[in-house]
Parts: sequence; structure tokens; C-alpha cells
Amino acid sequence: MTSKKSFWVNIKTNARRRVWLAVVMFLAFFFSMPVFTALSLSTEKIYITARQTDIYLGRVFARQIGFSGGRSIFIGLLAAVAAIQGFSYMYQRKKLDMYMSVPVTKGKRFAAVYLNGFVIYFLSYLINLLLSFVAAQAMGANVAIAVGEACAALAADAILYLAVYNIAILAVMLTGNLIVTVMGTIVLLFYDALAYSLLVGYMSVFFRSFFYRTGARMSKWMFSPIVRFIRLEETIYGESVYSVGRTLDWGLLAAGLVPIALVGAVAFGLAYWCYTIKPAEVCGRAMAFPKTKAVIKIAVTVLAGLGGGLMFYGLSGSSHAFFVFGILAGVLLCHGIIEVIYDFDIRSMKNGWKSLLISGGCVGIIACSFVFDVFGYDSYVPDVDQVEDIAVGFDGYQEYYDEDLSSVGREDYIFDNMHITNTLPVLQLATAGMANWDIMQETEDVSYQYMTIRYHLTNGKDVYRQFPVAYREEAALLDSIVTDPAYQIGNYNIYNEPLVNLGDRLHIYYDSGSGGRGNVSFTMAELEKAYKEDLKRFTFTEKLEQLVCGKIRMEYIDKGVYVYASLPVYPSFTQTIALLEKSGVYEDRYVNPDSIEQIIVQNNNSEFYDMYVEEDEFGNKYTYSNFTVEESFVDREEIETIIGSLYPESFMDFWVPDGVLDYEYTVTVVYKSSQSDGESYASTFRMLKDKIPDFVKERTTYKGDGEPTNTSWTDNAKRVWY
Amino acid sequence: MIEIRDVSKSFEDIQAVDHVNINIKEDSVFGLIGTNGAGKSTVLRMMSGVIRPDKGEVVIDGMPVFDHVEAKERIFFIADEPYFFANATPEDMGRYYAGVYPNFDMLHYYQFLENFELGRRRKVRTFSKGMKKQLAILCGICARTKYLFCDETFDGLDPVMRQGIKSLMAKEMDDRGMTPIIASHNLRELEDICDHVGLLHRGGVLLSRELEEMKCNIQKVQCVLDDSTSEEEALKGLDIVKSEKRGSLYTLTVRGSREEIVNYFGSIKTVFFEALPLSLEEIFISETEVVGYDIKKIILG
Repeated sequence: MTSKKSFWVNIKTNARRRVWLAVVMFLAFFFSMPVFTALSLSTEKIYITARQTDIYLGRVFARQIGFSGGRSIFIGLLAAVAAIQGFSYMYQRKKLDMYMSVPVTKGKRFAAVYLNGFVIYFLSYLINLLLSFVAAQAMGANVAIAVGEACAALAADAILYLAVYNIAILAVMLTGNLIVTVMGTIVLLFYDALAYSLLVGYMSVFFRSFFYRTGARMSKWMFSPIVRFIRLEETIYGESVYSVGRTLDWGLLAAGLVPIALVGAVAFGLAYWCYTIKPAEVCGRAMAFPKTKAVIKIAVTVLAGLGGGLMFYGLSGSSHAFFVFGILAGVLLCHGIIEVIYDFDIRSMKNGWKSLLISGGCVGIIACSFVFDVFGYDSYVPDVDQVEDIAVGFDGYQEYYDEDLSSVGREDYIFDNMHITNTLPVLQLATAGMANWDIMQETEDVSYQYMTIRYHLTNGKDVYRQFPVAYREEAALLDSIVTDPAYQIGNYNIYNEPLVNLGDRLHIYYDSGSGGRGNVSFTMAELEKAYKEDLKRFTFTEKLEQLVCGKIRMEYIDKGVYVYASLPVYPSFTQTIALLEKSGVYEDRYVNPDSIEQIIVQNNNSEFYDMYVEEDEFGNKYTYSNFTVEESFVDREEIETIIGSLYPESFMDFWVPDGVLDYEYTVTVVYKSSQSDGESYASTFRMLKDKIPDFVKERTTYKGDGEPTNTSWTDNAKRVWY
Repeated sequence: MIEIRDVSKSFEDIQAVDHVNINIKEDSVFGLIGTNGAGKSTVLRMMSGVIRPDKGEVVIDGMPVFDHVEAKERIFFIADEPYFFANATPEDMGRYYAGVYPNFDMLHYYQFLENFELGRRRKVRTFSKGMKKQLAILCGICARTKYLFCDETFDGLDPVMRQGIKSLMAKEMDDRGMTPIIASHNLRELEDICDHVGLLHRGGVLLSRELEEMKCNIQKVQCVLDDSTSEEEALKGLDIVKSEKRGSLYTLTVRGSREEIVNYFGSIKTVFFEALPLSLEEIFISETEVVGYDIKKIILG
């Protein structure tokens, strides 16, 4: 009976002593929830244009009180404060003498402090959440819409709170004073996120074949609840994360919260175990358990050394000397500071040479493994029998959509949908590509295009890389890859089912290059059939020899959903072109000379930057930044000649081989006013390198004496050239 | 009974308590005395279940004390620096202790607060050091535990209050058999009230005995030997703990009962002889000097 009574006495006494915490939490939630709700809805009402104001405001309110990754910092901070404050009695001997000598078991004392820390948070949150509903209702919002979001946020935030709370309690148990606890909490909360960032940083700096998806895949193994929580917001809302009326995926939310809850549970178990074995006499010391001292010191020092190295490497413009300096500075400083913290004595900075050597050795080994690519990251190509299927990203831009008609990133789509099982040509290409890393600097005459690749291995693991492909030399291999049905299904958006299934709801039109919108008369099914047939025969060699001759554009707009996609048309796409001809929209050239009023050609004349160089008194070299010559062409003959050398800028989304276009020239074609309801309009083109007429070159080449052609913006705008 | 069974405790490299064995009987006042850093507070904290011994165990009425509620219900520990909740009043503290100690006597507590003129609604942080000590002792007495552990509790109390608290303790001992265990440097204080004394030095127990027995077994003798008696011959039959000679006057600290000592000196020729009882302080100095805790060494090096 006594024990039961003492438990509640402990709860009550503990609660009474934590009134200030309750007040702080309540005020924090009060201003961030009901007050903020009232303020923002009030502002929203001023600018609102929606007909159903209550529903719109309800959705705005739902987004405010719903799941928020950004709120995790706020919740995490409150949790850490509650945890440290609750168990702060362990830092003072006189408090410990009292608490430990009274007839209350350690378990019950822990439970009382622990429960209070959570209940204070939960009640503050809940009361202010209800007040937010009252405020939103008063502002005219339909609050019923927000109930689900509010419940999800309440549960998710509670799980996050408990996870951070448990980690902070673990930090209290591992340490013996407040300052070290705060630092320990930060280390426990963010160590893996920092380690992950450094790992990705090292890979991206030292491994040429590193592809960002590798980092994204590794991030799944991050345990930091706050970082996970922040990332979860985009997972559960997808593209609609910032939009009013976003829809919450409860399944993804639950799945995303499981790891956070697990981390919290493990932290709780460890924290309670440490609590039961933590000796009272360690209060005031830096670390409670001597055995953890070296482990934590080495772990933090290794990270600091690696971080210092990477930072100085970046700041110095990739100097290896500064890289080594950064590592040494990071290791020595961090190790010394930790020793000072451990002993509360500045003279201790020189202590612990063994752990210093171990830390330095670890940093050295890790850094060398990256710098010298000890594990062969940049030459890795799996054996053919190790690979189940492969996906490659090589082509230019395409648009893809998911089931909800939300846009999907190109790499995400390809790596999820492409499963090439005829892996041999791809592996041969990858082997050649990996070797290209070492020779591409010396082969300037060879054109390279970066290929991203995902190997799905037989052991279930996905491995990502990127490498340069000498595509002209490897055209035969690329032919066999791009004509593989698995490549086509995963790469071309004509196979993107959510897009194609929109069928005739898609508005289809044709752009021959001038930006016009020629309406077509065929159906989506007819287009799909013809285009897929054309693609089947379309080799990479053909692609090298041809340029896009037109673009089929598809659009769908409905209730805030906007779908846009385009299909390049090549001259060899006979079936597609037949459909376009049947609709009367196909043209065998990009622009009709009859519609042109004038053509303005602008030549950057970049080669003159090298010819007209000045030096200042320190020997720094400068040049004027503008030698551009602009020439207008109105003669019919000249126009007809010029249009034979043009390539629409709007088609540059599609892949164009190197060396085909001359980027010195920018061409603006101005159409006659009759072409567009009395309004003149223009479109931009680039020039084909081999077809630039001589008279254009002649009239747009800079002929001055080093003075810029247009000084209006360069008078005071010299720039460092070398 | 409290049994301290072969208890050892070290803090990092420092051996604070080294194989200590003490038995503390009920219905007596036990004084824990010792040199600085002898481990008195550590022993008391282990007896209170605050810290766990590295070796051995502390058993209270047959129950190990560490994290054992039943054992702790029988003890109340007044630390050298008693802790009171932030912004708490004596009333708050009483209410708390009443919640955790099943026999806490709230009625008496309020009476004592009034008698000692400690405002029950006044914030403890506004109390003087002595008042805080008084309050801690009152809380301890009103908890009505069988054992009351006091660490330097009388420090900071004025003589009147000290006497008042002693009387209160004596009354509690008479009424309900409370057993105070008092650690202190103030040996004169302990001498008045202790029945049994444990002397700690460098983490170990030098002696643990009834105070009377301790006093009876060591005597201070002042004597002047007859000219015909050689010093060596005269003193060789004595267990001398300490010896000093000023002129012809010998001042000796000698082990043995008064009767034995008087009989011994009766058998040798002396000009003058007197056997005096030793104060606790003198016993402390003598016993610690034997094991090398010598004031001369401290001063002269």
C-alpha cells in the first residue's frame, strides 16, 4: 500500500516541481497552434478567392495542424528539455542523497519522472490542439476536414516526442552533468545523420562514378528520429506536400513512423538499463560509465577528423595538403576538447594518446580508402551472373506521371520501371564506361555522354553508378540496348501508363519547331500504336544521324491537375509522320520562310576573349565580357538559306549529339504579324554547326580593335578571365 | 540491527572504504568518527542505499538496503547538505515525506515546526543554514523510522538548538527505541550522547566499541619516577600507546583498565602517580597516531 501511495506522491511531487516546464510547453503550443491558426486564417481570408471559403479555410487549417516535418525540431527541443529537466536530480549529490535514500524504488521513481515528462507534453499539445479547432471554427473554417490530419499529427508527434525524449534520457544516463548531457543528446540525435552526410560527401568528392541515388538508398539506414521525421513529410504527401488540400497517405505515415518508434523503444530500453546501473557517485562527472568514454571519444573524433578534411578540401579548391591539414586539425582539436570536457581541466588536452592514435588511424584509413579508391568503387562492374536486371538513364528529358498524375522524376521513373535482363551489352558498355574515367581527359576529340545505371543484383541489392560513354564509338552496343523492349518500356513516356491511359482526354497538338500548335485529328490510341512501332526500329545509330523534326505535345488540365508531355518525332518515324501528314500538320522544315519578317542572328564571338586580354599591376588578366555582334536579316533569299541551318531551341530538351550545334549563335526568328492575330511573335533557334551560311559568319564576326561592341553594361564590369 | 559486512567502495582510483565491518545494535546511539577522508559519509551513504558497495553489503534488520523499499522505510538519512525542493515550504516537505514514509507524524511535525519557530509556509530557501538543519532533523524524527542517519548534523546548530535536538532524540529513543547513527568530527558532541563508537581511518575501521568500554581500556597516566627506578625497567610492563616526557614528568597513554594500571604503578616506585580517563578526542588522537596519523608529521613533515 505504501509503495502504491508513494508512487502517486512521487508523481504529484514531481509534477509540482515541474510547473515551469508545463508553463513553457503550454505557452509554446499556445502561440504555435491556436494563436498561429487564428493569425494565418485571418490573413488567408483577406486574399481568399475560393467560392467555398469554409472548405478552403478548413484545408488551410488542416495543413497547419497536420503532419509537419519542420515541427520536429520544435517537438525535439521540448522533448530534450523535458528529459534533461526531469532527470537533472542525478547531477547533484545532495538531490541524489535525498531521492535515493527515501523508500521509493528506482523503477517507480523513473516511472514517475518519465510519465510526467510525457503527460505534460501531451496535455499541453492536446489542449492547444482543441483550442486551435475553436479558433479555426471562429475564423469560419470547416474544421471537420482537419480532424484526420490533426489525429495523425497528434500521434506522429507523440511518437517523435517519445523517441527524442528517450534518446535525451539515455544521454542523461550516460553522462554526469548538464553540459555534457546536452552535447551527448546532440551526438546521439544527429551522429548518424552527420556520418551519413560525410559518407555521401566523401563519395561524391572522391568517387567519380558516384550517383546521388546511392546516397538516397543509404539514407534508409539513418536512425535519427528528427531527420527521419523531416523526410517523412515528403514521403507521405508526395508532390502535394506544400499544397492546400494535400492528401495524407496513412499507410506510408504508419510505415514511416515504425522505424522512429523502434529507435525510441531501443533508446528507452538502453536508457532504463543505464538508469538501473548508473552509480550515484558519478554525479558531476562528465561520463557515468568509464568504458563508454573512449568509445564516444573515438567515434566523435573520427567524424570531426573526416569533416575537417572534407571542409578544408572543399575550401582550398581540392588541395590534398589542406585535406590532410583539415584531418589533423579536426582530430587533434576534437580529441583535445573531449579530454578537457571529460576532466574539466584544460591541461588534459594532451591526455589520451592511445585514443588519439586510434582515432587518427581510423580517419587515415577511411580517408585513404576514399582518396585511393581502395575498394575499387570507380571500377566496379558486376559479373553477368551477379545481375538480375539493369536500368540505364541516357537520353534527354522526358515527362512521366504516377497513378495520381503527379509528376515523377526521370531517374526515379527509369530505375523503377526499366528491367533490362539482356544484361551483357549493358555490362560491356559499363566496363568501357568505367575505363573512360581515366582516359576521357586525354581524348578531347571523343564525345562523351554520362550514363546512370542501376544494377539490381541477384542478392536483392541495388547498386548505382554513373560513367561517361563514348557514344559514337559504342554505337553498336547502344543500338542493342535502346532497341531492347525493356529499355523502351522503362525509358519512353509513350509507355507511361497513367499518362497514356488518359487517352483522348489528352489534348494533342504538333509543334514543327516554330512554337505553333497544330491540332491533330488522330486518337491517342492511333498515336500510341504508330509511335511504339516507330520506336521499335529506332536505333541509336539512327538517332546520331537524325535530328528531331517535330514535337507532339500532349496536355491535360482538370481541377488543378496539369499533365504535360511531349514526344520527339524523328524523320525515320514513318508511321507517326504518316498520322501527322494525315492531320495536315506535318512540315518538312522547322519554319516556313513565307511567315518570317526578319531573322536576328547574335554571335557571341567568344574566341575574342582570348585575343583581347589586359593585365593589371599584379599581373591579373582581364578581358571585356562582350564582343557580341548582332545582325538582322530580312532578305528572302538570305532567310531561306538561314532556315536550313536552324534547330529549334524548344527541341533542345531532347538529346542532341555533341558537335552538331554551334552554341556561339543564337537566332531569333520574328514572324509576320498576320501569323498571330495581328501580333508579332518570335521564337528562338540554334544553328547547325556544319550548315551556318558564310554570309552569316561574315556579318556577325567581331571586327573591332578590342573594344567591346556594346559598352552600355560593361563600362565598369571587367571580369577576371584567368 | 544494521550489519555492514565487509564493505568496500572505491571512486575511480581512490579506495574510499576498505573492507569495513561494523554491527550497529538497536536502542543505542552510534557515533561514526574518523579522520578527514576516512569514508564516514561514504559509509553513511551506503547504509542509506544511496550508493552501492563495490564489495560486501549493508543489511538493515536482515534486509539489504540498496533499492529495497522495506529496508529504507526503517531509515531516514540526513545528509551533510540536506536537500529541499526548489521553492518548497516546510509544509511541502512534510507532505512529501508523509507520502513516502508510512509512519510520518504530521501532527508532531507541525508542533515541532511551531516549537522551533520554523514557519511552515515560509520558503525553505529563505532559511539559514542552521534552520535548514533543524528542519531536516525534524523531518527525520517525524518520519518515525527506526534508524536515523545523521551526517555532520549538529554542525551549524547553535548550542541551545543542539541541546534541544539532543533532547528530542533522547525522547524518541525512550519513546520508540529510535537508533541514531551520527557521523561527526565534533567528538565532544558525540561523547555526550554516543553509546557506541566506530572509528574510521583511511577507509578501514580502526575500532568499533562501546564508548565506556573504549574509555575503560585506555588510560592517561601522569607520573614522576623515583630516582632509583630506571625508566626502561619501570615502563616495560605497560602497553604504551603514546609517551611524552617533560622534565621528570611522564605523560603516558596506556592500554588497560584503570584497575590494572593502578595496580601496576602501585608495584613500582614513583614520586607521583595519577591515572586519568581519556576523552574521546584523546582516544581518537592516540589511536590514529598509532597508525601514522600524527599531528607532528603533518606539521613538521
